Amino acid sequence: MMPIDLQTPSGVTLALLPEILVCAGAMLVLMVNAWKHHTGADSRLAGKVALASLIPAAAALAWLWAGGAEPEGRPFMVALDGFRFASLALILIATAATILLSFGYLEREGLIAPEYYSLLLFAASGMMFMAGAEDLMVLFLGLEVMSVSVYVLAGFNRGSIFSAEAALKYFLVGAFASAFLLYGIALLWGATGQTGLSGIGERLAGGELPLMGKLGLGLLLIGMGFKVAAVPFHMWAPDVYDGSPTPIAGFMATGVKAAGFLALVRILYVAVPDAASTWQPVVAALAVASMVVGNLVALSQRSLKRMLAYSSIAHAGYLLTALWPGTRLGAGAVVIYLAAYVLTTVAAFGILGVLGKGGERDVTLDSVAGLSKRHPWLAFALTVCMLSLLGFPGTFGFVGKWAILSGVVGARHILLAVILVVTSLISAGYYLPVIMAAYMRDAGAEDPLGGRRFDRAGVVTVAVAITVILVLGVLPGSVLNSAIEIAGTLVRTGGSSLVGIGR
Amino acid sequence: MTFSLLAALPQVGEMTVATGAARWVWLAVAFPLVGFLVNGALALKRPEAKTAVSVVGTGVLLAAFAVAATVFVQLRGHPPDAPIIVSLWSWIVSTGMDIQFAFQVDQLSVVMLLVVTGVGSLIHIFSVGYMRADAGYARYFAYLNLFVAFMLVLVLGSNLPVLFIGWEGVGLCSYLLISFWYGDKANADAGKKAFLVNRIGDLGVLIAMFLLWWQVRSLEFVTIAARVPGTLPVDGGIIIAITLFLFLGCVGKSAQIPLYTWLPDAMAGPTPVSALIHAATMVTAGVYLVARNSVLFAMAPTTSMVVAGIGALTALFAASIGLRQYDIKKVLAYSTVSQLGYMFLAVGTGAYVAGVFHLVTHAFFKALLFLGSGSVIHAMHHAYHATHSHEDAQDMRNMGGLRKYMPWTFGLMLIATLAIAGVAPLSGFFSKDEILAAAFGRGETHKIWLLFWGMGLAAALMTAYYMMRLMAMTFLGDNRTGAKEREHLHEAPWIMTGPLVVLGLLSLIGGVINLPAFFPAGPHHVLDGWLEPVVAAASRLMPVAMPHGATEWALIGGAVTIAAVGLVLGWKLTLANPIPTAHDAPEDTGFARVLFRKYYVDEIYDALIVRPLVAFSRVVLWKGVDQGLIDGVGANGSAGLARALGWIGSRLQTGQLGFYVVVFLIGAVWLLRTVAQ
Repeated sequence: MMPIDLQTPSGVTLALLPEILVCAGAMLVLMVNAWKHHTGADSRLAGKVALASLIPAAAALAWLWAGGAEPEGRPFMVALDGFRFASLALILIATAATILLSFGYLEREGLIAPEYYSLLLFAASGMMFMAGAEDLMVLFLGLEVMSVSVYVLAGFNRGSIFSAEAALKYFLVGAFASAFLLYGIALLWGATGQTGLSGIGERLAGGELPLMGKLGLGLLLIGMGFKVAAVPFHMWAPDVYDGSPTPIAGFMATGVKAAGFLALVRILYVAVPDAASTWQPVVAALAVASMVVGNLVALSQRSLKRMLAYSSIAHAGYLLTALWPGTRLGAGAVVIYLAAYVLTTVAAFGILGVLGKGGERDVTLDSVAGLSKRHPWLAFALTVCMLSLLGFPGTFGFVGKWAILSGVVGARHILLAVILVVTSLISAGYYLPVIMAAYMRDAGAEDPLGGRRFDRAGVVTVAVAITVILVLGVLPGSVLNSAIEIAGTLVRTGGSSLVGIGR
Repeated sequence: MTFSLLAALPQVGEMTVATGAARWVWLAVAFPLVGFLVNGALALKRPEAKTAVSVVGTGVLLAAFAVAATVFVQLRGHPPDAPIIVSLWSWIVSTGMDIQFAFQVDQLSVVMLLVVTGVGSLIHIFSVGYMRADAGYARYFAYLNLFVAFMLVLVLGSNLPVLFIGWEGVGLCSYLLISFWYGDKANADAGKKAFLVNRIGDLGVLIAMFLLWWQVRSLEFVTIAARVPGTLPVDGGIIIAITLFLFLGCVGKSAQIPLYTWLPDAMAGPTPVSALIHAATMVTAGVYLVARNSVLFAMAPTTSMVVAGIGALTALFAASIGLRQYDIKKVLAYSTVSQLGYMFLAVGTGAYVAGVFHLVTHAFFKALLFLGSGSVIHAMHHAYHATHSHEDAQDMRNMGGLRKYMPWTFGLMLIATLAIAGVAPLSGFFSKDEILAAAFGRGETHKIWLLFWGMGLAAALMTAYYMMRLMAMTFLGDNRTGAKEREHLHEAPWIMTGPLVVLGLLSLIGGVINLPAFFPAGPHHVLDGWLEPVVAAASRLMPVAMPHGATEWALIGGAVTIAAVGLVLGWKLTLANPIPTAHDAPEDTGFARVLFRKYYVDEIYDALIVRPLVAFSRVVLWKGVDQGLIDGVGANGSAGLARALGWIGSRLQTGQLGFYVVVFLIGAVWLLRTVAQ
């Protein structure tokens, strides 16, 4: 146990060490850029510095986590518990993978832009602040740091009109949504006189939420619903994913979504657990809408990138289902599912990035036809990704879905469970054709990659992700146990074991 | 009701904590598994590295045998009171369910462990010589190693799910090896047939598992054995159903009537595979399963009678087919089916030790017979190969007089022939005699067992006949291979003959592991004493009254006489007339033809089951249900609906920001109304 007094500057510094180190890394990259910003090699250098700067942050995180850091006295501004550490780890993994996949992508697309990497790091630090916030103000600041960086990143392909469109759309609707969020925070503060999550929780304990608080919570949910791309606040997502550089689309689908969900879990489980009767119907409705709309519309997509965009909306629905129960099992399921989803999506977008040619808006089923003949390993990796997204047994994605189902069934919401299963079944209708195209269709004379090569960093990233997906798909025991344990640092009630697997 | 049952049933079976060598029993599985990985990698990357493959392939088996021997020595030194359970990891854990991936080390599994790794090692060594020239050498050893790993999982598993992994795994390896030369369609078809027929049996095992879980709430062997006697009524419907479904699995795996037809076809694989998988080990898994669950079968006398009846019938029926086969491996294949029938007669009679005893001795002499036939085929094949002849190297009508060219193979196969025929004091005599005596003894409780005994006796006569016929056609008389080819006939190299010598020795003296009391030299009843802890509970439920004194001597005298008569008939009748070569031979007529065509069972199955099923699948299931209903109305219909809805959804995705904000706002208003209520 390592008690840290969050009221003192040194205590806060210690507690925020991972975030601080990531920010420092971002600035270091900027300084390197000041001198070197002309060639592809400079761009690579910036990427390497960015990647290297994640190492001390990860080390600091490991030190806090292994040391069992916990707040001395009242929690204040930033959380110190296993759930935050796990959140930070997930975000760091997503960031590192995005950087690794960006090397080859930027080179292939001929983008010389070393600032790209510092923006990635700033976005990552924003996500970390957001996911680890113990106070709504910290959460909002983190969210804005993240959002502004990602707006810029979305428009980073300056030569592409679609990239510019994506950035503008994301920014406009994003600003709109931020206003909702901020207004929600204000109303919650008005209702309770608190902005700290635990403070709000204590104030509301056992009592009925006043109308002002209810409206504040509702506005908060709207703002967060936008960030995680839940229906009906999702309309931006397909256009923005489509126009953004592929690694950034992947980053939005993984990092931004993960940060949003982790923050949402913390808000709902720490600040307003006793108002579950208020937020549960909303969450359930958003979940159902996201699962149904995301999966159905994904069916009629031709472009794989848009298909993955709608699929990520569907996955937002699964994650909303996961957090619905408000129990320890629910929080555990969110962590497990996010881990599975982040790994799989990172790999999927990585593969998509190498399949794309000339602005890659045109990656369709035809682009993967016959992939297995020319690039058997790439086809295999793509297959694993699709199966894991589908939730096929033997992959990590299946374990995640099982965990969600365990939580929902344990909390006796059978309808949600049924809808999740049925919509997952529908999703086979657009995941499996990708595999079929890769294995059963003829490529013709043309190489699906058209002579492009997957660089080593990309290969390693995808290979590691695929390996983990398969290994944890077969041996999920330990990671399930730790997820439940991590969830236990946030919630202490309800459900200690997953039905079926793990102990 | 199931949960109240759970509360009423707190007891689990007794078990001993693993100590010493037993803790390392998993190494016996790990070694062949490593062998599989290494040989598999070599098969993909460097198939020409045959020396490395030989060393790895046989080395891992010898290492596994060393593990088995060490565990055996430990168990002999300190016999445990209850089975030793070596739990490796938690496999399936759920509410009320905790299935460990665990191995069970007790007297029975150690016997199986020794047989599988011991006989397995010999066959691996033989294969080095036999398969050396084959292009798929590394692939062959990879499969063979994998088979041994799965077989050991099967015999070591401490619960039904782990056993089932092994059960399916050995099946997989069996199909891979049957169709090892997959370039030939007949071989691929034989593998497919084995696969399909075995699915029927596997379904039985699965249903039995579900029933057991429903009734007993456990799949651990020790726990099942402890709980069932207090829970289920003796010979009640449930226990009969459970045991019958288990037995269905055995019927498939161990090739009993009516599912035996795959085994003779399985001879399409390389001959050492036939020796290892389709004679010595895998096909005896069914016998092991019954012995392992002896308590269940002892509690269901009705099932036991079915088991014994099917066993006796199979023994007789398969032996009769063996009388008129010309393919040397087909004779041995039907002989295997027949001998497996004996084993089921034993375990059905309640003589579980006798069944295991015959399993062990059969592993010795049948492995020897198959490997010997492999040597013969090897020689014949080389002779025909050298002269570019396309005659059948496995047809005994093309052999004859091989004694002169292959004296070692002849001598050793003769030992095995005498052993399987039941000539005293070779190994097969003791094990077969014990089975027949037990069946006769049970005749006191129910007359039908006397019929089973009579069938066993008749089968013994036929066994002696067809085995001697095989020896006479192959090794005696004049050579019919052809003048040019004759010069190329020669004894197999020592790497192949060596294992035969060891097996010959074991066939000769293997009976020593369980000598009956009347035998002048001791020690007596070693295996009975060794397996006593495993089968004691079942034997109490279903005691076997072995005949003694004059009756016993009369039975023995009868059995030996019958063996002698069979052998002499087989010898004299076969050599009475000159045998035409396969090329010139006239078609068999009359009943001989019926026997040669195996009672037309394959044709009958084809006409009654396969064709109607294929027709039904094609017309009704494929064209009607699948294409019409499921694809047409179901899949295409619902997919069409889903796509239509999706299309509407993507039409809404106009790209117009203003519209997006309107949707956003509608959602926001709805959401705020919901929370405010």
